[in-house]
Amino acid sequence: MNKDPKVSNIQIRGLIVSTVIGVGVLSLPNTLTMTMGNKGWVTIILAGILIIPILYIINYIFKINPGKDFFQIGEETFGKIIFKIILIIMMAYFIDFCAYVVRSLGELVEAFLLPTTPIEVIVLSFILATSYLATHEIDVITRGGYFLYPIILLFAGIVILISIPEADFSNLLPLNNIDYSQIPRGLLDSFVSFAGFEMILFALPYVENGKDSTFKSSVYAMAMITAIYVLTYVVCIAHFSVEQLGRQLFPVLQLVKQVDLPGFFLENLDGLIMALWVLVVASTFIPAYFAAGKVISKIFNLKSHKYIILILIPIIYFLALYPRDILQINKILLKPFNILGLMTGVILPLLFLIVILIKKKVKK
Amino acid sequence: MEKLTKDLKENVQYFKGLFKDCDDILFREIEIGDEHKVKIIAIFVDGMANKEFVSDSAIQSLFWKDDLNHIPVDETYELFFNRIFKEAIASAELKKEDKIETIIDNILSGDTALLVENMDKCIVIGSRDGPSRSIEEPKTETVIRGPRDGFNEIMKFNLALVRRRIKDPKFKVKFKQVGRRSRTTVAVLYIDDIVDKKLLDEVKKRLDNVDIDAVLDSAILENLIEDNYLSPFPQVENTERPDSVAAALYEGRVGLIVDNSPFALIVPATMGTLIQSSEDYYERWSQTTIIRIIRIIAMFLSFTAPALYIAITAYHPGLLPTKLIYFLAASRINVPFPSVVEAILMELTMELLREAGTRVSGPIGSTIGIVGGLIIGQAAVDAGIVSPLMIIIVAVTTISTFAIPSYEMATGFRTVRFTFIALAGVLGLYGVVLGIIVLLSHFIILSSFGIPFTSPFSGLGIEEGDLKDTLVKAPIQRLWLRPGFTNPKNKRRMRGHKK
Amino acid sequence: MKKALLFLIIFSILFTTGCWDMVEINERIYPYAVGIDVNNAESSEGDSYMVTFSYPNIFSMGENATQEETIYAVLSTGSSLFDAAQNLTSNLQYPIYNKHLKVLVLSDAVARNPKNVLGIIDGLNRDYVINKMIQLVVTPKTAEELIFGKLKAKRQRTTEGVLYSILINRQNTSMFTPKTLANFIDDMDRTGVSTLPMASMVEDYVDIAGAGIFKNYQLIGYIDAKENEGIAMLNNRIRATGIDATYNGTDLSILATNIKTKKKLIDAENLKVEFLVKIEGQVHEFTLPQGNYTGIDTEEMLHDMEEAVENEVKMNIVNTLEILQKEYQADAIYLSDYLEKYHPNVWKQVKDNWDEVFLEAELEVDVEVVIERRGLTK
Repeated sequence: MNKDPKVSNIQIRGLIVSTVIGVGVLSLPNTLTMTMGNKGWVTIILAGILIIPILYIINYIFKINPGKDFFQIGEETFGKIIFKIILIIMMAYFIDFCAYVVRSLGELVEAFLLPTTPIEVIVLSFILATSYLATHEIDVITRGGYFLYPIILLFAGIVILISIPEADFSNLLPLNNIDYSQIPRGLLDSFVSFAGFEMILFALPYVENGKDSTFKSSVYAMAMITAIYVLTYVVCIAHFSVEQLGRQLFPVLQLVKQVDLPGFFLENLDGLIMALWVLVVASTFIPAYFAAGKVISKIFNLKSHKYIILILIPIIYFLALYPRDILQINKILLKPFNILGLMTGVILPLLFLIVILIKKKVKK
Repeated sequence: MEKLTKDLKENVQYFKGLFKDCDDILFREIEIGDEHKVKIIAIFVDGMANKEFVSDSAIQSLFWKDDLNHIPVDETYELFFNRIFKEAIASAELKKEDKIETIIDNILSGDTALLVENMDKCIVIGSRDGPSRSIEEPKTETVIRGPRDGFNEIMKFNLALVRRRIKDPKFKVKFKQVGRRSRTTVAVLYIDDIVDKKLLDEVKKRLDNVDIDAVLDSAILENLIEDNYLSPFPQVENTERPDSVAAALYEGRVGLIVDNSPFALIVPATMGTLIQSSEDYYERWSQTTIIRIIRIIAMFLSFTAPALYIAITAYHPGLLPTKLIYFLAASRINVPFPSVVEAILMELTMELLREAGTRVSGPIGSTIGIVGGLIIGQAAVDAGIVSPLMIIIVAVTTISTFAIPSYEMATGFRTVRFTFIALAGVLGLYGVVLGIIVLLSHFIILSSFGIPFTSPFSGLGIEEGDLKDTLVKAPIQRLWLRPGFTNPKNKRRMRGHKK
Repeated sequence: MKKALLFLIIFSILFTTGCWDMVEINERIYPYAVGIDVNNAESSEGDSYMVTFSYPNIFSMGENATQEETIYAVLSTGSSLFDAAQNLTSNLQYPIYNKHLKVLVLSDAVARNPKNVLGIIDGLNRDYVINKMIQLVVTPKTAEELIFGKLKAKRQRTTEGVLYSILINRQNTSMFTPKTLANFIDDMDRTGVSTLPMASMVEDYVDIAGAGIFKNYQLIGYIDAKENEGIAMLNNRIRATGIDATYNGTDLSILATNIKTKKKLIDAENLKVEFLVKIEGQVHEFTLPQGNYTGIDTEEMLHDMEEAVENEVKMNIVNTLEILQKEYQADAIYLSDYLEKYHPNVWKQVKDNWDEVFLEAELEVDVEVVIERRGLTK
């Protein structure tokens, strides 16, 4: 009816949760035990808390610039050229995000579901299937985020619930021997799994009613994510010793493989969980894909990002398949992803804040 | 010629020319007056107009009214015309008209036009009374409890059925003509102080934009006003039940009743509304809740069941319990086809049976069902062409499609089912999930008159508590607000306990 | 139109070249038990194992079964379980699919070599297909004998194999303690010691009783059912079990339904640990002395009976601990795990020479039996 995309406050919550929870949730317990032993939950909570100020800054930026979207505000604050550079960094980030996510998905699907199917087919078909939604505007993307959000809760809920009966929570003990020197590393590892919350940069300006409570709902979403991460981490620790958790690449899947439920039909849950997980990954991938397309369209001053999405198909495909094995994935895709993630997720909002504050002072 | 002229002969000539070779259109010439004679010509369609009514209340009274037959010489035609209009014709629906186009419309709808000598106006008598069937129980939406009257093809009866349920002057019925040749009347139904103005304007705009020669049924109109006509899924709800229409109007939606169609249209339709059936509101809420959940499962199974069967047996037998897998493997030993072929074969057979069964009514139809379902299935299993589980799967799929209240929705799922079978055949469970991603994307993108199709699951209306009437159905006492996705002006249904 | 054409092309390409992983359900072989032996044949070139697969014959199932024999077993050689399965493809009509593997039998000879066990366990754990809940069993003879013996064994009608059925359905016995692959790895990571149930052929029957003790992925010896009961009691691994004792010279049998053990560190320096075993149970069978018709009717009598059981249980546990400490130096009772979790400071000191410390540790046992019900008769 009207072309202006509209987003509701409640959808913001769904968008954040579904974008953030994705690939990371499967491997987070592993990466955290490598650095933090069985104290990984500490850094997850810390990272969750540290993101709240960033969310506040982002909300603040949009509050003092009502009616403008992220790109307009950016151009006004930084000027055209600097902002283009920022956009290029963001573009790199989102493309890398997509490539990393889709490659991880390909590896896991290959391993657990389709051992002899070429990974090229798995990756390409996934990109094609998701490009359908990514060509649409932000209101459709947020709608999708909210629509898939119960599936994410279901996924997390199943994983946590089925593992509780056999869990041995004494594995969390002892509680007090935290290795403080490892916290920064652990924090970084946890922070990476929160990547994706930057999506609100694109959605926030279109919130139509309840603009004041967007901060509240983004914090709510963040709390939810933190809770899901902590709980999955805890159930993993409750099932595996620290040594074993350090060996498992995808402890959550291993966990599901190990659960022995009473009753007969639910014997092997890993396939079901994998299937659900593909949906969870799609809900992460689509917003990132959309964001990549949107950012590129703004770099070239295009009106629609529709064709950019199509052009991105081969780019993401080749980037995703470039690394040879899982070690190279970490080197080529994950490392830059971490750095770029920090830049867009933490440094960019801070930069915004600093420039805006300085400009305010100068005006006075 | 746009308007009538003063010359009766010319007018009649015009109409006769227009209705040349239309033998069902009758011209009755009357001459009244004692000394001064005035010619009157009645034009009507035989069968569409109630001939008895026209003779009794119009022609007869013109003849027998004494003072009418005495026409003073000095009386103008104008005065005489008014006299007839006011005094002579005993009809409840009467109007003066001079636009030819409207007159033609009226005549063809069953009204009778009286052309009077020397007048550039005519009298149109509402004498519509076409052939009709009586009000029967709806064939497609039967209920165990609840009203049993259904719409038929005559719009005025249909409107009356709805009006009987909304005795409120705010309930508006707005007529529009669509179809260049068929000139089908479409009634736009809404409750003025509930409906969202934007929605109403959109509906009217789309109706105005319809450009087609004939609208034979509401289904054609539905296709013409839909948001996405390429989608296999409906974005407009249709119903044969007046109570469903009334309920929708009370929710702030807009109803469309098309003449000659027993199916009324309701917009907007969303995923939430398409899983509702009118009986849900007449049964106890706990029962309805269980049924709703079963419906969702049925919806899911109706397009994934065969695909999941293929994915699990041919790709991931690890998902099944060990005991079951041995049984399944044993039951498939003699089947010569791969499971994809087996599935497509059986699904096609099923579609064939269904098609044959629906086209043939009565006892032959049920014979086809029995022959097809029991005998072919049993024979196929005995011959070892298909495995017994495949028969179960196909049966479950078909039954699931019947459990979806919206027939169009079920048809949509039936169509995409074959794509899912193919996907499962190529990529196993992963293919099925990819299919689900695309299907969900499609639902998310779809909208119905600007309202997201996935409402209320995708955010719109959640704050108003729309979820209380979707997967679960709360007791009526708890549904004190109208659903929020239609953005109703008047939000409150009853005095609530909160807010 | 163009879109549809593109879609059609992609789809038809997928279909003609696709279906990479499709294998019909009846075109796979689903083994449920596998035995691993050391390959002693002269001609073995790198094939260090002899692997016996047993799988059900699907042709013998269902209504129109065409064959009689319900279970097949085949022998193959290979450098690993997976290699052996691969080698079998040349003489079986269908490929082997290991997802439904339920039991893995390690022969004595294989288990004695830590390199073998480590390799096998790592292979199982690494594999995507293998179920991590696979039951591990050790046999003092050869695995081949056990698996082939099963074919001849009576009571052989269960689809998932007799070994698995015994392991799963008799979980409330104390004769053996079932261990899955996941449990085994967990034990090894935590304490370096684990026990696997011991299975052997007794005449024509499969018999599982006692356990083999593994330390650092090496079989170091066996314990019998009685000692296994002691360990299981200390580890809270028993749901219900019968306990026999003598009371006043007559036999007394108790069905213990709730056994809980608590560990408590009493003295950190000498590592003195107390095990408090609490048992609730009911009288199972009690042969009354001749001429006594009153039955169990006084509180003292019940109390005395409890004491008799307590002594019996205590003796067994002390004896078991003695064997673990002195004979095997194997901490199968999760003592190190307990210290690490609840007394991290103590653990820090003893961590490096745990074996010696365990040998010297003072382990005290206190048993408390409560007989709650007498049964239907007095």
